[in-house]
Amino acid sequence: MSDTSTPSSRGVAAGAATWESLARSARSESAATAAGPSRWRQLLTFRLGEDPYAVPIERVREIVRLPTITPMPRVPACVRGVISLRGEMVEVIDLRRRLGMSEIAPSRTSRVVVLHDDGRATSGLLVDGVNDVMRVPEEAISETTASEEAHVCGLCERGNGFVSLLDVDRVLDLDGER
Amino acid sequence: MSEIQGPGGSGPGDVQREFVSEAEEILERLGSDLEDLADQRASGGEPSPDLVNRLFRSAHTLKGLAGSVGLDAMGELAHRMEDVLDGLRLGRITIDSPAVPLIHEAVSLFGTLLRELSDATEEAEPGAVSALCARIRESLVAPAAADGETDALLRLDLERGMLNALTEYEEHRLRESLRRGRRILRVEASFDLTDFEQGLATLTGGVSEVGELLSTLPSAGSEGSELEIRFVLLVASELDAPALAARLGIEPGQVREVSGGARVASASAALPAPAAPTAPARAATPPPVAATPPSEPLGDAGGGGRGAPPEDVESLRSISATVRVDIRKLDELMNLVGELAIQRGQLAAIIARLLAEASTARIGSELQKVLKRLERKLHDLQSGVLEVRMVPLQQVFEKLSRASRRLQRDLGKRVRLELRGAETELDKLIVEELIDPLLHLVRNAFDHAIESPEERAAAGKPVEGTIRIEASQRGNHVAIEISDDGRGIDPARVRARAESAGLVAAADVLSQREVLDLVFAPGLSTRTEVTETSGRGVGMDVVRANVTALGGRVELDSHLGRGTRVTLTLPITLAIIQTLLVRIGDQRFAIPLSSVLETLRLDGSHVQHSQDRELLNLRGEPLPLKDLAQELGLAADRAKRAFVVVVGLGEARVGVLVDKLEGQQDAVVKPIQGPVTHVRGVTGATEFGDHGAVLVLDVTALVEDPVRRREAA
Repeated sequence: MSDTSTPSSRGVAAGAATWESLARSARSESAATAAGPSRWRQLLTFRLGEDPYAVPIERVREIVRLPTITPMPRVPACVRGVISLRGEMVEVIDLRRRLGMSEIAPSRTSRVVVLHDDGRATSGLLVDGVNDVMRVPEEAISETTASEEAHVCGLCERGNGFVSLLDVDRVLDLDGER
Repeated sequence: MSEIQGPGGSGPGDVQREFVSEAEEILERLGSDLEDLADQRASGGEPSPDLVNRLFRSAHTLKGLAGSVGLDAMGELAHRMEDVLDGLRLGRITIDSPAVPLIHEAVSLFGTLLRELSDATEEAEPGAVSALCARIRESLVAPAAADGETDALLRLDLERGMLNALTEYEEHRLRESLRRGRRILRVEASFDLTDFEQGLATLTGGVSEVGELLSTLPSAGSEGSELEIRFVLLVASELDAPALAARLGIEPGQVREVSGGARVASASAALPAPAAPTAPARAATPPPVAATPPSEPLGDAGGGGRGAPPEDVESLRSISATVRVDIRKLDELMNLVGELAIQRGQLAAIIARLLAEASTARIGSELQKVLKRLERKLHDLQSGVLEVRMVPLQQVFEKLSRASRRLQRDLGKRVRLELRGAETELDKLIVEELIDPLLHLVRNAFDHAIESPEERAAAGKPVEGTIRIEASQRGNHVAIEISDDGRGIDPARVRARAESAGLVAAADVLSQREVLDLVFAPGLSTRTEVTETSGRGVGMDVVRANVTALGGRVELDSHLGRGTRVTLTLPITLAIIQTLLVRIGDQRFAIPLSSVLETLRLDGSHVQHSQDRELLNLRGEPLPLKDLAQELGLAADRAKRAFVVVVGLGEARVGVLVDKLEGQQDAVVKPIQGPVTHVRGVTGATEFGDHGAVLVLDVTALVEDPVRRREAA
């Protein structure tokens, strides 16, 4: 909260158990700094294979280890099935399948990133592993043009490479998916 | 990014939500009462004092409510409504005053403000409130009450002190009664001090049956012992003194008519109405006994003393006896109960392990006894929470009767709406989802089914049509029947429409039932012209979709020229249902028990193949079979199907093939959150232990008839 002057991106390493509290504090931090001179964004980064991806932290409610997934009939292939989150029934989307990447079996590091709308879980994204939360100024995110990957809405420089910011709404729009 | 989230607690939001829901309820009542008022006006009668008082109290409560949460504009608006209604109540204005229609406007503006407050999707025009308030104030600057009538009161044979004790409202009712030529009677009664409320209530109850109680005044009479209390009641009635005494079962000496001179003078003078001019024809022919107000929904035993309530004590008391609960909180409670049930299952599993070991069997059996008690309490808790969610259909019925009255006025048809079973209870969420389908069915009946009065007369039917809505509980279901005695549905016309819409081919052979079922097909309307009431072909398909989404079923029965009956069958609650667990391959599914007729072991020798269908000979009747795995698109070894679950609702029956039956379970069915919004055949998911989600199947979707299938293809 106090180091708002550090303009560079900041990584926070954390074990899976503390993700929820981390996401919560990041959310309140983003709210506190929203009124500041420069607009900051907090992104949850995760990976598919070696490629880093990110979603805005305020869209994330929690991160869970891979639970038992119940397959659903007659749904697009990228929908793995339903999980029960303490009684809430949530669809899980296999992000690899959704983005048309080659399939690998879920591993020990696989996680479900649970997205929410006003606290209510809306869907889960199955990813290969969660990295960290990064805090970047708005300007550090370059918009992508339509010709590039359809599900990525921005790129953010980090180290020697880029983190792809997912267009969550487009990922969740399954019209036309088989 | 600018979205700033609150710190979790939602204090002010709660207060506001509560205000909105309470205010909505009052507005609802106001709206309904205003419709009654409009009816009374339209039929040329005087507004019933009870009705006007109720309206006044509603506005008054609304004002206080808005004030208590600091919503000044709303408070002001309610205040102005109250002014108008107070004027009406005290006879300062008549029902024909220009101020009266403004209450309707105020109610609808208030509704807009409420919606604006609750979800901000609607916005009232800025300044709308102050503009309307100003108009109301202007409209009330009407002539003052006529003074000439004071004389009429003075001519009453009453003590001066008593006259002075009357409130403005009571004076108004007294004048009004004189104007209508009723007798004014003075009834004296003494009661024992210890239980006078009871005696008084009996007396006033009796009075309200034969007249209007104008005032109840305690009197300090010298006669009688000190342990008695004496009352003087002023009563307006058509009866004379001896008759009233006889009706009330009291001594003739206790009743005295006081209006001898005043009544004659007042009636013969043909006094003008206090304020605005009323139609003289109406004043000359007062309704015979207008004293009995339209019966209220609840019995009114002993409530006659309420004629002029001193303050809002009554209404305040009734509010404090109930607690308003957000339905989401009930859902949370329900979830907790569901989680407890899951833990109970785990506990049972551990106990089973303990019982299996000889060394721990004793502890195991002790624990099992505790578990049994726990189960019973859990069950009580569950039914307790369920019960709280249940509401009677009363509210929906009120909406329907209001809609019906509006339709009568708009369409010029004469229809009697009969409502039965308003006390039938259903889950609050279901009741809410039912409003639209029911309104639609009633509109349909009005618009399409009931003929014009001339047509009805020509067909030898009573000129007044009847629409009957009857609700009743049948086991775990509630059936709501909407029937009319209208023209019925012409199968030939339905068929013709369906053919021209391409839903069926001319060569198709359909049974009468199948033809009627076409009414539910999207885009089919049997009347060529489009009416404002029912719109075009959207309708019955939507009704069916809504009801099916609630786990219910719609059936239609119609006889040409005699009428139509639509039956909705609904589960009592969505929160907890009993299910049958089945297994196919390595997946488990839950089938609502309410749709399971029976289960049997599959006997291959009784299965016949006809064309592409499989039929099971079930006690001589052919039962179509469906492989659940195939219906759900699962890859599972067909040879393993060993059981048949016979499902059905209404007349349709289908045998569903599964591998194994795994017993019955209570299930808390949850909607599935995610981008895939609807999967045919799946209503939601539930959980029974720590084995993850189990899909709950909508078997009615699997039992769908061939006509709809074809049309979907």
